[in-house]
Amino acid sequence: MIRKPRKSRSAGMPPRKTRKPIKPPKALKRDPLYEFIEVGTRALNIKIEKAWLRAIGEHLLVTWRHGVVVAVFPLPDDAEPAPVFEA
Amino acid sequence: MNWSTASEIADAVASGQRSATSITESALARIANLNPKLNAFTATMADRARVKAHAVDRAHSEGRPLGLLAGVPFAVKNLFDVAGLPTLAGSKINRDRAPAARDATLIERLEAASAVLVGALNMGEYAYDFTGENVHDGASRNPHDLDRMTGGSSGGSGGAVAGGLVPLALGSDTNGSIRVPSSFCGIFGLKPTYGRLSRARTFPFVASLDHVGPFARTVKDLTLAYDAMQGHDPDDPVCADRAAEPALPELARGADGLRIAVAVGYFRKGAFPEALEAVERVARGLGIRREIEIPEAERARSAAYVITAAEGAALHLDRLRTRAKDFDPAVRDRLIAGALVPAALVVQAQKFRRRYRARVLELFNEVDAIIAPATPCTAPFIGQQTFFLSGIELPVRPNLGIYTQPISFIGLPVVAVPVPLKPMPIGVQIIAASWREDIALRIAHALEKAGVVCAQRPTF
Repeated sequence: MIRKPRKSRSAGMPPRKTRKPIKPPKALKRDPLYEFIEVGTRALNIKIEKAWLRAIGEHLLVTWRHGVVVAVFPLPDDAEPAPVFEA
Repeated sequence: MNWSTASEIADAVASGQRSATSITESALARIANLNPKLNAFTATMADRARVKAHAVDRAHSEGRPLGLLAGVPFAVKNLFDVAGLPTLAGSKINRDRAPAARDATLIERLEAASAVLVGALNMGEYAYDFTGENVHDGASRNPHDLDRMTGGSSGGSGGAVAGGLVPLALGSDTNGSIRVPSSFCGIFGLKPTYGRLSRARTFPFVASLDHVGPFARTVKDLTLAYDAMQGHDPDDPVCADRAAEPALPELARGADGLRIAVAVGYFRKGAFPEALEAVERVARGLGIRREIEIPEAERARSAAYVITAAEGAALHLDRLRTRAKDFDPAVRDRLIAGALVPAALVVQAQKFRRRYRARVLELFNEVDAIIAPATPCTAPFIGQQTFFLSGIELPVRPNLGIYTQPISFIGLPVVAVPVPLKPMPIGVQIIAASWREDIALRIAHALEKAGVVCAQRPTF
């Protein structure tokens, strides 16, 4: 009786039924921006949905960019803010 | 009388040629007829308007003096408290509020001048908007092209005045929300000095940047309304303790002798050809060749952006916690992002603000007024998401105010004047030093008399 040749299996591979695509560790896959949003909104007790993350992230990046433009402007230590502004 | 000015109406009522009641009925009929096209009004106040108009007519028949706005129909952005209506501020959430118990101060002052409130107007949600679009009430439509934006957030105010529904409306301007709709709808708008007009009993957005002011189709009407609303109000802690400084008597002085310059640098960057053409026409009309650079304008816009995001988020924090899904998603996502802006950046922006103000006010030692575009382009199409500024594709919604934000950031008074380009009008800002609305209004009036600027009647 001719035996049907078995398909070769790579050495060290798990049996087929348990093989899964290799995924990077969860922590490495997460976008740090999204993590920041999730942590920040949790701290503020704002419940967000995953579908909102992208838009929130885009707005946040734009706002931060504007913030950096302001932050690099040299101001002396005694510069007063204008919380209640009088023109 | 559907294209009559406020001053013509007031003259007709004061002389007995027309009754306030007939004027009011005409306005209500016009709104019923045209609002389905423009979507400018979110509420009409027919009964209240009739009662007020009748009171004006009775005062006239009894020989009592009438105010300078006798019988003039007007409407207000729906963030102004109107007794008996919940103050929507363009939102779904605020529909659950109790009806306002008392009118906003500016409504009381216009009615004290015998004007007649006929309704409340559509606006971008919570005023965080430059488009005039609203997911709850639908977009306000531009009377010059119903497929185009009115601009926002005072979109209904722009559409109602430009469409001839009312000769006068009120709006608010935090970063450009009076000047952008004025530009897109081709009408006059006044953003007064920060603290000049009372914001009492209006729904806020960014307390340190919020202004309120009028829209009209002529400079005289704009000035009549402005004068009627001036004066200290203890109900608004920001409202300056200054006596009224009527500007109407100053209009006849014209622009002669005033030192005026055109803003260059940042205020040319990204401008579409039509915006530059409008500024050029105004400059030619005034015979000005002088150019001036407003230092750090770009950084000022960034600082206004940061403060707006953070203060707006702080205002709505509780609503974001409890009713996030009831916001317009475009507004909600910006507010949530604003809640995550580091406090250090906000404080830095407020410190920069004071520095910037000092530097810009120095310019007014050299000039009396500065001319700049109001918007980078004419009205985009409703629903348009992006446009190109300086060759870079950017979202429309947050970027229509690039030329208005550096000015309101330090509270300077501005009259937006309409340049009647074809096919769409576009506005130009006339910027004056703090508390010198009179100068900006004089220049606007001179341009109007010379035919350089005007509110053109649409044909929708």
